[in-house]
Amino acid sequence: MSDAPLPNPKRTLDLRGEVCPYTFIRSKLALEEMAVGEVLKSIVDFEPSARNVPRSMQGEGQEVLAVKEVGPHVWEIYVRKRED
Amino acid sequence: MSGRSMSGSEKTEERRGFSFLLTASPYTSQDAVTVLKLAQAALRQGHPVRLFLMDDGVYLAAKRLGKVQGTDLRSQLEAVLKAGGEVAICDHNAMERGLYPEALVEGVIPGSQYDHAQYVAKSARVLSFTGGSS
Repeated sequence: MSDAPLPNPKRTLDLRGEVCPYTFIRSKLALEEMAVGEVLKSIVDFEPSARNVPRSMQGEGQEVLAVKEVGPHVWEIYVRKRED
Repeated sequence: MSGRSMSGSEKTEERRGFSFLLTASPYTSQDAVTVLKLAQAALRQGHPVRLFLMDDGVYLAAKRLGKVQGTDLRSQLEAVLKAGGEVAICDHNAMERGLYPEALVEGVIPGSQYDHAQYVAKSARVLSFTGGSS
């Protein structure tokens, strides 16, 4: 992850109120509908998801651009699709 | 055959070794001891070992866990890790029980069902220990 400005996401998923594993599953399903190179922003408010969605995305071969804590217990996860 | 695409590791790796799923508390069941002994035996034979802890099984990964009924479970878990075993827990279940990542034995992955799925996909055999008596 770099300090470069983040690209505008092609799609944003508000997953506040959801817990694992749905946060990852819904993010993965959203990415499946996107083209390689496009960016997904997932918003979560469940701390384990802020750790595990990025790990799992990397495990799937996707690029995690950033995980930003944007408020009390709210995180934005930016993922660029690298693999179909 | 389903239409799901496989990850890179599934495409290229042969299924090897054992995965253990432990959901039983080390305080109330013998399962944790059994899993640790089987895991160490498998590692000694050169088999890859992966252990996923969820529900009350996550207590096995707590730093504060010492001897239970005379068995030093923490040392045995550390021996599994030192011998190359992979250990992941359900972070969700752990937090529900007040086990934050810093409260876990070093080397344990605060993971998710994704890790569990990966362990199953990589392993030749999967053994579940759920604390049931029958």
